[in-house]
Amino acid sequence: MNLMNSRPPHIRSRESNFSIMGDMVIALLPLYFMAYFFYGNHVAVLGAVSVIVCVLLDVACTFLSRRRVGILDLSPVVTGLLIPLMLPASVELYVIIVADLFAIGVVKQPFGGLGQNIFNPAVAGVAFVALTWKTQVFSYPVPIQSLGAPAARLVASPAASLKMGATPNYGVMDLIFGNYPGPMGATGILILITCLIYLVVRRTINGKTTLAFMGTATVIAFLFPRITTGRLESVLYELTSGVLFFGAIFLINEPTTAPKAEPPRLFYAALSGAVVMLFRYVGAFEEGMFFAMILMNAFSWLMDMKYEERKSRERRARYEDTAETV
Amino acid sequence: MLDTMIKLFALIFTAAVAENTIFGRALVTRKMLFPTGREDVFIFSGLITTLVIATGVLCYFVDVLFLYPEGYSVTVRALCYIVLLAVVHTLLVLEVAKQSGPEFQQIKNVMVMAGYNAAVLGTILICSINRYALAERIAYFIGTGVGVTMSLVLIQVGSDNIAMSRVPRAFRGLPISLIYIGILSLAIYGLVGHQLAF
Amino acid sequence: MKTRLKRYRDITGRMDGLLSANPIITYGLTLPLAVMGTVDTRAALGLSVALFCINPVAMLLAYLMKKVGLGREVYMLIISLVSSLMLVQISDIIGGIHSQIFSLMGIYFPLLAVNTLTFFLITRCDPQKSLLNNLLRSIRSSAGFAVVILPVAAFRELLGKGSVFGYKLLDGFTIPSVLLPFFGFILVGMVCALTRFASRNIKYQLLRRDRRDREAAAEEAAKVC
Repeated sequence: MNLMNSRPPHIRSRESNFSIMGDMVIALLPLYFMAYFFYGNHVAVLGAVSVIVCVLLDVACTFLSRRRVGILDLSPVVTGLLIPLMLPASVELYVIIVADLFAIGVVKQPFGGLGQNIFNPAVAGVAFVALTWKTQVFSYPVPIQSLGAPAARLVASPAASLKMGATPNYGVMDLIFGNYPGPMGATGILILITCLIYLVVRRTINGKTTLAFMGTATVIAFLFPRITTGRLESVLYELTSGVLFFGAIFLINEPTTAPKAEPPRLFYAALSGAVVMLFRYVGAFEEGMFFAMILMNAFSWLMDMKYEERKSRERRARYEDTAETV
Repeated sequence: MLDTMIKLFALIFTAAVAENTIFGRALVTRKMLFPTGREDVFIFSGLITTLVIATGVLCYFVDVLFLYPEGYSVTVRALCYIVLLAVVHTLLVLEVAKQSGPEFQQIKNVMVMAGYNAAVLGTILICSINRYALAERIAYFIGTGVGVTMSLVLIQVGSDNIAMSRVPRAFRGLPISLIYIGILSLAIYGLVGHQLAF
Repeated sequence: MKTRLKRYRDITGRMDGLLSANPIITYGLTLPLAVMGTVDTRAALGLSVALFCINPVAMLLAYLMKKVGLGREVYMLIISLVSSLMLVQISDIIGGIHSQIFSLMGIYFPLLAVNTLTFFLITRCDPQKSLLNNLLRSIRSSAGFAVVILPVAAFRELLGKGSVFGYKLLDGFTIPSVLLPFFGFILVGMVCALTRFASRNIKYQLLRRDRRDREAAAEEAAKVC
């Protein structure tokens, strides 16, 4: 009997990589349309270049490691779409390309490619460029006013204001419709909610995971507000600033890096919410989501393993009880 | 009093996380990259912490009484520290040999690698260069011990995870472990945000 | 007649420690120096020169101590002390490379006293073989160390500061984060992987050519018969 060591899951559902990634691509496209409306053509160029670089690099690395190149593998497309959405529309093309190279060439392919990566490639790629070009990555164009020339006037985002203890100067409607400076795909809360509903209905992601993540972040923002204008305002601004909500939908639910069983996944999501807020509060950068997610990805496998050990101990105890009774 | 306590806790946090010995200063050996089990990790990091604290305290007195007033360079100070480290290490080996008996053979190798280790000497040198007082040094050493333990646990969890992945042949073993540590170091840098002084 | 693969293995075997069995790439030794000592090419050169001075002396002492029959704990202790003493003595030579070299090397210069390459070499020192054999091995390993860290340091300094050996070469485009520890780990890991990949492919190509030659020779022999 040939035994093969492999990571879970060992029993699979009817979903395939193509259906899951296809749903993610469909969910990400409205964010691009929204960004195109606010910032113009440059958005399309960034997205297209990012996808092309990711796909080419993924194919090249798969070919070099003598594995079969999957035509229906949309995972590099998803990575290519995710990266620009977490960055400002004014970012230079080389920043996107470097992020893609890091994501696929360092974080994904060396660990074995599709389904084998320990860390989320898009998150790690953005974390790398955030360290390297801090000014570019954390300076945002003003929506609509910057149409056609995104780099003309750059301002700080609400996340930067919160970091300094100041209250951001944007109304609720601006926050809902994304009419404030921020990462390209992370500002339009209404569109993000729509994407979330679509993915939950399609069962591509688990809504409970997103809720657990947002719940922890809400509790921390309520109990430890960084602004003095009230706890509810603190919750509103903390949840809508930066890539928190975007991450709660697309990053926390990444199938490869999140735990597979539900209880550890909910625990992972809740803990990630706390760690993300910790990085935001005490970290060196206004947005700690990228770095916190990398750290949490390292632990997700351990959570699955401990849960499976506990379950097998319980099963064994039940079996022994039954055997004794018989 | 409260200010001092806060300062010391901040120093423990700095040593454990912000200036982590492995992720922040790369004071790592090959043995640390491939831990054999959780027990080994705790024994190794326990030994390092004990050696750092015991030797570091002695080094403080040598610094204050002799090395600082004479204005010796870091390289000369390192020579004195190695002498003290050798003394402390030898005493520890003899003590453990007395207590352990037959199990001592198993941990003897670990003790030698834990003693003559860049993490131990490096931590003592950092405290010496920064001219920390005794209480600050002890806090820093405790923080280093906590940091090394946390880092080794993370590395051990990662190596178990990597063992289950289909890593390409060229990356198996040392390369993928280094890349894994590099990515974790990137994450921890999100807390620090600045280049550590050499 | 020797096959191509055998000739390749002979050449790399003679360069043991330099091309094959490289201390950093194969064994993962001196990682602190490979990761943090490669932030600047001048620092890498200083560390390489220091190791070239320490390793042969350490090997000589280890050879004598092993002949006498001293245990591992004793010779590791003595070698650490002697290495540290040597570092104090050669500080002037190292300082002559560049005025800022000690600030560039930081605590990693005195840490050469407890570097894993020296310990590895003295542990593997074989008193059954000649002293010259052991000394050449230590020199080759030190060269192997330099061969890896100097190009890595040049790459990091060029991308991170736009200069090599302090001489400005690139203006404008730099990636400052390549000077951080995390990039050092990733770069050294990638260099190890690429070297292994290249070595494996070279052996594979040589094996293929040897097989083709054997098949051609067999066909010729069959035709003649």
